[in-house]
Amino acid sequence: MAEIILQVVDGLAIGSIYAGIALGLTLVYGLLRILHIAHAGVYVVGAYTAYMVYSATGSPLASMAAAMASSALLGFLINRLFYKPLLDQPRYVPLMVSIALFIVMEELVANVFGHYPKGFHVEFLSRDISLAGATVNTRKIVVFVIVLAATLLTWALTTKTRLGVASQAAAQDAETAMTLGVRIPLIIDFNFLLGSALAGLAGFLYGYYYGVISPFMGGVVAYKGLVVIVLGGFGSVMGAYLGGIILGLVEQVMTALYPHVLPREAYAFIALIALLLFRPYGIFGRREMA
Amino acid sequence: MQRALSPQIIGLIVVIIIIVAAAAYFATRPTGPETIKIGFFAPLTGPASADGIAARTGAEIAVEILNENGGINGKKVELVVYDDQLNPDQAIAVSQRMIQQDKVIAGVSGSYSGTTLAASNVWNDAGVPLVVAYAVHPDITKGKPYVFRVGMLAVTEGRIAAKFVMEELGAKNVAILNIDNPFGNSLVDSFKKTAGDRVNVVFEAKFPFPTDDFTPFLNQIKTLEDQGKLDVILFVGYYPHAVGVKQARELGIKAPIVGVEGFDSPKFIEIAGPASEGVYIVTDFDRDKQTDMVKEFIKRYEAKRNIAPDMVAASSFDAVMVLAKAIEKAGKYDGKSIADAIQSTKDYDGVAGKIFFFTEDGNAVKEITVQVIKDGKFTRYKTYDDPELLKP
Repeated sequence: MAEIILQVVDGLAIGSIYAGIALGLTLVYGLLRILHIAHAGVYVVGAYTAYMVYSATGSPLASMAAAMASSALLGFLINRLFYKPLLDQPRYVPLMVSIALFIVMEELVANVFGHYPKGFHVEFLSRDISLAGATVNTRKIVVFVIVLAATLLTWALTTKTRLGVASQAAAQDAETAMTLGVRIPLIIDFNFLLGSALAGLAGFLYGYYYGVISPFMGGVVAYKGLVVIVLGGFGSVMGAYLGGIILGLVEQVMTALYPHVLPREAYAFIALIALLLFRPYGIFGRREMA
Repeated sequence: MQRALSPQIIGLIVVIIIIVAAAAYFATRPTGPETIKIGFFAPLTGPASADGIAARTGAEIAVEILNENGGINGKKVELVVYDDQLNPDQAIAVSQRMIQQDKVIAGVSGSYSGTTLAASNVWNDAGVPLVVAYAVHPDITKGKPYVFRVGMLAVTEGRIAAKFVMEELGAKNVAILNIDNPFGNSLVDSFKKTAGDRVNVVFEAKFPFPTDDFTPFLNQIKTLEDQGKLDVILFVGYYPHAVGVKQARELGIKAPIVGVEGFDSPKFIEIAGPASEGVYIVTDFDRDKQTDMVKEFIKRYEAKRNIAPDMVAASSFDAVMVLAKAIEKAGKYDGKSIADAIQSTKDYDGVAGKIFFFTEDGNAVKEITVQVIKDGKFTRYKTYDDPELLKP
C-alpha cells in the first residue's frame, strides 16, 4: 500500500512538470498551428535563469519568478523574430526553424554554463511527511500544487477574460475573428508570453524536483510535450494538463511493473501511437467536422 | 599569325609542372615527419560533450607535458582534434580525414563505444594504430592488431564489483540498477557470473541513458529493505544518474550503494549532494596515488578547467602517453612498428592505474581501485592489483 502511494505521488509530480511544459505548447499550437519545438529550449533557459538567480539570492520565489520572466521574454522574441515573418509559409518552414532554434539554444547554454549538468539544490518546503503509511517528501506535493494552480489560472485567463475569449475565437477561425475586430497579433503575443512563462515555471520545477539541470534536459521533453498535447487534444488547456498527468502516471506505473520490457521513454510513444490509431483528436479533444 | 597555346596544352603543362614539383618535394623530403601528428576524436558537441571535452583536455595535457620535455625523439607532438558528435558515421568520416588528409601517424579515441567501434575498423584497415581511452565494448579491439585500449573492460569491472560486494561488504541480497547498453549489460553479466549463487539478486531493472527518475524502481527497493531483504544496491550508470542516488537516500534507503567508473566524476558528487557520502565506485583513477604524474595531472587539469579531473580525462591522458612511449621506443613512424611497440608495453604507471601489459586482443591489464566518497571527495578504499584477477 505504502509503495502504491509512493508511485502515485511520484507519477503525479513528474506528470505535473510535463503538464507545465505542454500548457505552453498547446497555447501556441492552438493559435498558430506551429509545432513549437523551441519551447523545450525556452524551458532550458528558464531552468538556467532559475539556477543563476537562486545561486545569487538564495530565494526560491525570486528564482521561480525570474525563470518565468526570462522564458516569457524569450518566447515572445522567438515569435516576433522567427515565426512572425514566416506565417505565410507552409507550416514545415517554421517547424524547421523551430528545431534549429532548439539546437542552437542547447549549444549556447552549454557553451555559456558548461556542458556538464549542474547540481541545483533548492531549499524550499522540502521535508518528509507521513502520508497513509508512506514517507513522502513535501517537494513532490509542492510541484503538483503549483502546476495545478498555474493551470487553473491559465484556464481562467483563456476562458474568462476578454483577451482569452478573443484568443479562443482566433484559434477556431482566425479570419472570422479578425473581421470581428480581434487583434490577432496581440493575441499571439499574449499566448507566447503566457505559454513561455509556464515553460520557465516548469524549468524551475524540474530543478527543484530533481536537484539537477542540464543544457540537454530539453531533449526528452521536446517530444514528450508533443505527446501530451496530442493526448489532451491540440489547443486545450485542461486537456494538456490532464494529458501531462496521465503520461506521468502511466510512465511511473508501467516502468515500475515492467522494468525489463521497455524503457520509460517508450511508454510515451506507445500512448501516442495508440491514441493516433483510436482517437486522433485526443482523449479530451472533440472530433472536428470536416 | 602565331597561334596562341590551346587551353588543353596549357593545362597539360600545369599538370606536368605540379607532378615534377611534387616528385621533387617527396624525393628531397627528410625521412619521417617534421612533427608527430596524433589524431584525436571525441564528442565535443551535443549531450555527450562534457565527457568529450574532458577527454580532449586530458589528451592536451599529455601533449603539453611531452612537448615541454622535448617532444618525442626531438620532434614536436601535434594533436589533431575532431568532433565525432557521438555519431558513428561522423566518427568514420573524421577518422578517414585524419588518416588520409592530416596524415596522422596514430590516433586516440576519447569517445564512447558506438563511435569508437565504428571508427576502429577504419584505423585497423589503414594500418594506423588507434589507442582507445575508455570506450568499453569488447569488439573494439577484438581481432584488430592495430587497435588498443588503455581503459578497463566492463567484464573486469563487474568481476571486481562482485568480489568487493561479497568480500568487503559481506552482502548477500543485491538490488541491481543498470544502464541498458553494452557497458551496463556486460558488467552486470560478469557480476552475476562471478558471484554465482553466493548472492541473491532480489531486484533488477534496466534504464536508458536519459533517465532522471529512478523512483519507479526505488520505491520497490525501499519496500524490500523495509522487509529486511536488501543488503546492497549495485548501481551501474553514469554521473548524471547521481540523481538516482539522491532519490534513494531521500526515500530513506540506507543500504550501501556500489557504483562503477561511470560515476567517476566530480559532477556525481555535485548532483547527488550529501547523498553521495559513502557511495563506493569501482574505477581505475585513484586520486590518492602519490606519484608525480598523478599530482601534476590533477594540478594542470584543475588550472585549465576549474574542476577536478575525472576518469575520462585520466584515461585519455594515459592513451596519449602510452602511444608516445611506444613511438619513442619504436624510433620509426610506420604503423606496424608503433603497434608492435604498444603491444610490448610493460608496467606503465599511468594516471588511471598501472598498466601491467596488453593482452593479445590489445586490452590493458591494469590496476583497479575502489573509491569511497568521504567529505565530498573520492578517496581510496581498496586497490586490486593481482594481474590474474584483472585479466579481461
